[in-house]
Amino acid sequence: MRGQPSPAQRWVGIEVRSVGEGEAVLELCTRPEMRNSAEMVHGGFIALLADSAMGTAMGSRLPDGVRHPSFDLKVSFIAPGRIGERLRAVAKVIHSGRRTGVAECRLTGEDGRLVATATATFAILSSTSDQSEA
Amino acid sequence: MEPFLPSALAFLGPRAAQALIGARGPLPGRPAALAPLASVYSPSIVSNLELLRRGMVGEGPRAGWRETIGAHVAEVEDGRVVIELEVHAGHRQEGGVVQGGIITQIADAAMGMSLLTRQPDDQANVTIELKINFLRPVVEGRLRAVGRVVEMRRALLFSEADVLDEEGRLVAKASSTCLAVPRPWR
Repeated sequence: MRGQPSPAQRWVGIEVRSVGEGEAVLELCTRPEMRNSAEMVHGGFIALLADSAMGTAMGSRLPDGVRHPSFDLKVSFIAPGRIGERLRAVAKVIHSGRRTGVAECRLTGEDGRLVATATATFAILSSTSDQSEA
Repeated sequence: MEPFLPSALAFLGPRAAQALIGARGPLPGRPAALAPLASVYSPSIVSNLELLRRGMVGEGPRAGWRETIGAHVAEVEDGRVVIELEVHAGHRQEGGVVQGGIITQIADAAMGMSLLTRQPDDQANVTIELKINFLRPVVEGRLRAVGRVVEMRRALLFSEADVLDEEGRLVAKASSTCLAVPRPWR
């Protein structure tokens, strides 16, 4: 279902705030069990939030039922995420081709500081013929 | 006795490493050679911004790579630098499109230079990590790599670049992390 969080996203607590044409805003309220040994938000949750936001943005550009798994994800961790704060991910599609798509994402903390940036590349599996080619 | 250097910084040499970890105090053993940069820095040296602007007109330190591929610095402003490249046959791979390394080269330069515009005049930077997506093949025309600052931390600097073709279409998208180092030129 378009813009609906996956079971993994729901389990972590990711919320979809808005989905537009090629854009999505997702949020994650961080909890103590998400902290790393430095008492900050573990980078894996930031990567998950970024990947989810970019995937949701990508999905908004595609017809229902078209799968679009990411096959590349790059995250720059710029400032630590604090436990208890709400992280916000704003994702935009920057390229949507026939077979691949590219999206970028900015993640900010509650005070608006830049926590991370990310880009991802998606495979667009639009029909059964794509799968038989693979 | 060799001063202790964190292994990740050892390749830079003691002076560059000290500039990065200077807040932890001077390294023991070599007081003269390892004087804090602030004391060897003379304010009369050319600023980073001025240096980049001289680069636009072919002055300043020689950048051999630009001569090799024929790239030039087209625009310099605070936090943003544009590198241009007129594509010719010497840039193409066997398939007839511009080789990805050429595109990466101008993106990397635009990113590093955009960071340089915001750095103190006794610092420069080196790329330690770079990622690029190639979105469209390029055969001819003028390429523009637009580099801009994302965030500056004390030692780590983050930037992005869009590479555009002559019609303004996005050809490639890059992001990089650079490390601040003492400026190697005057």
